[in-house]
Amino acid sequence: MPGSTIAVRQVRHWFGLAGPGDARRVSVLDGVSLDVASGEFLAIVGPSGCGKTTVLNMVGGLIDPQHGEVLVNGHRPEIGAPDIGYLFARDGLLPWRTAEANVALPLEIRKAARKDRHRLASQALVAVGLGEFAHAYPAQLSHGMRQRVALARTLVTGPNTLLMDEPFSALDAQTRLALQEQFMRLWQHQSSTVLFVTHDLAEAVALADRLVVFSQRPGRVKAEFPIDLPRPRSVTQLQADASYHRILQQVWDVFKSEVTV
Amino acid sequence: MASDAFQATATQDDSLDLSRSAPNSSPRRQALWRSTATRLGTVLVVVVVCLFWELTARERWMNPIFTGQPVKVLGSLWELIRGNMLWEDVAATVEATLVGVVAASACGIVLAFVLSRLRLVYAVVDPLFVALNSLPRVALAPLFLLWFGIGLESKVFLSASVAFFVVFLNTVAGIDSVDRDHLVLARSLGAGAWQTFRKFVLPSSVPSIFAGLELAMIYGFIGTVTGEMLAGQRGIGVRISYYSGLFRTNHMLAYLFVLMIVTTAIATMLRWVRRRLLRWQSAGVHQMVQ
Ligand SMILES: Nc1ncnc2c1ncn2[C@@H]1O[C@H](COP(=O)(O)OP(=O)(O)O)[C@@H](O)[C@H]1O
Ligand SMILES: [Mg+2]
Repeated sequence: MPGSTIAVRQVRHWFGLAGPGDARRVSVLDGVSLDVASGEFLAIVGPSGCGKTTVLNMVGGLIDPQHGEVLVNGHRPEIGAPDIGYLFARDGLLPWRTAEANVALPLEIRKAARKDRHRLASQALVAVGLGEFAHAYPAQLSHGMRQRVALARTLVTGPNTLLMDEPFSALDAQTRLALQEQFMRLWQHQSSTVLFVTHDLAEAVALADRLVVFSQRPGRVKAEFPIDLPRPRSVTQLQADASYHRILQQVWDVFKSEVTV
Repeated sequence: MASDAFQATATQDDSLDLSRSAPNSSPRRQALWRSTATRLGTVLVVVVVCLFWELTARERWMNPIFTGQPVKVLGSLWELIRGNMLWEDVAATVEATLVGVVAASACGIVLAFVLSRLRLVYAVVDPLFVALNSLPRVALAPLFLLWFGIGLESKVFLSASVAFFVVFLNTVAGIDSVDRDHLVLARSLGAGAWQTFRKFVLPSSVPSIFAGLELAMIYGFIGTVTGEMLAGQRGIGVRISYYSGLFRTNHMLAYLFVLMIVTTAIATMLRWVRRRLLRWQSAGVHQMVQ
């Protein structure tokens, strides 16, 4: 299945300060436009509170923009569409389900056939290297393993759009590197389109085809960088790659000015 | 192919070794030893207390009318066990409690889930529930006796009135404690209201509901036995107040002993069911303890 195309057009958005009913408005997005090609890996970086999560939620159909439009494959996104996979910073695993039952959850909710659920869920677990842990409960797994189960849960429906909201930010440095590496390998085997939010510039440069930097709230696209590193990439090997460090330095300079001003 | 490479990282960066919780000899055996020794200690305490008690009665340090006498209590127990009355009484007390608690729990759980969706209605009735729940329900016994007579119904309503609020309030607490991350996940997966309830809210409230059920059973017995002691035809409470009125202390104590066995057995059964249902809760404990 080819990756989706995503178009964000002139989106402006605000929230009520203390919730939906509050007349005092906080402007969160101020004219954001993004075009993501089929199969592209786009990273979004920006200061905390600049509306990155809000953009993801719009693409996932969880929020409707107040101004402008968001289109996925030319249509308004539908909440819970099976071709969209979400991954959050916290794994959100259900503690009463085994690893495999957690991975099967999206299939159950989309009412997939019973025999497919088991097969697809165990395949996805094997793909993230947790085949042996199918019957373990989340409490028996380490942080890194739990987030891998969550990754398997995201991939199990074979989505053509991946929305990832700081997915590795809660992990320690070593585990994070292992998961980035693993995710890169898995993703490079398929063709899904990725929208990847992170506050880690090094991660964004290592993983993405293109990087957009958001300004402080209200978020605007402040800068954009193509990342011309060859694929397939290995995150660990990039650590010793000169062009990787050069691009990272450029991005950092722009980012620094935005954060400090 | 690709998965093989990932297996390597799986065991490398994650430090879980499931074999640690497998039965291996020496720590296991030590634990067994320790639990056997503890139980022997418990038995020893009981034996010592009973010996002292027996002595108190035999030597007339106190009048056995007040204290009873262990050997005679055993005699009464033996006599009662061979008759029919004891069994009918046990059946009557257990039946009233189970009917009351089961019915009240079902109502409590369903009402909690309904009211959690109708927050406005809940806000209206909440103060009434608080007031009713703080009323010592035993004080309702005369009213129930007036309405339903001295048969089964009064006892059932009394135990139900105690059990209902415990289960209701625990279920509400369980529903409110549902993890926000889980609700976000449910929404992002496009789960409908029924799926969100069935797969997210209900399972996460089970521990709390069970805590409520276990309490409700204990409270239910309090309700039933109190009702029986005030007025009744059959039941353990009826016999306790009857024999104490006749100063047949050993018979009364035999009934008390039976009551204790019955309630402990039921509480143990409930705890066993909970452990089976909630195995996932203790799944990580082995790992953390070691
Ligand atoms: N549902 C909401 N109601 C009110 N304010 C919100 C809501 N969601 C987000 N916000 C606010 O909007 C701003 C942007 O949020 P978010 O998109 O989560 O930022 P980011 O992910 O970039 O840190 C924040 O200031 C946040 O407090
Ligand atoms: Mg965010």
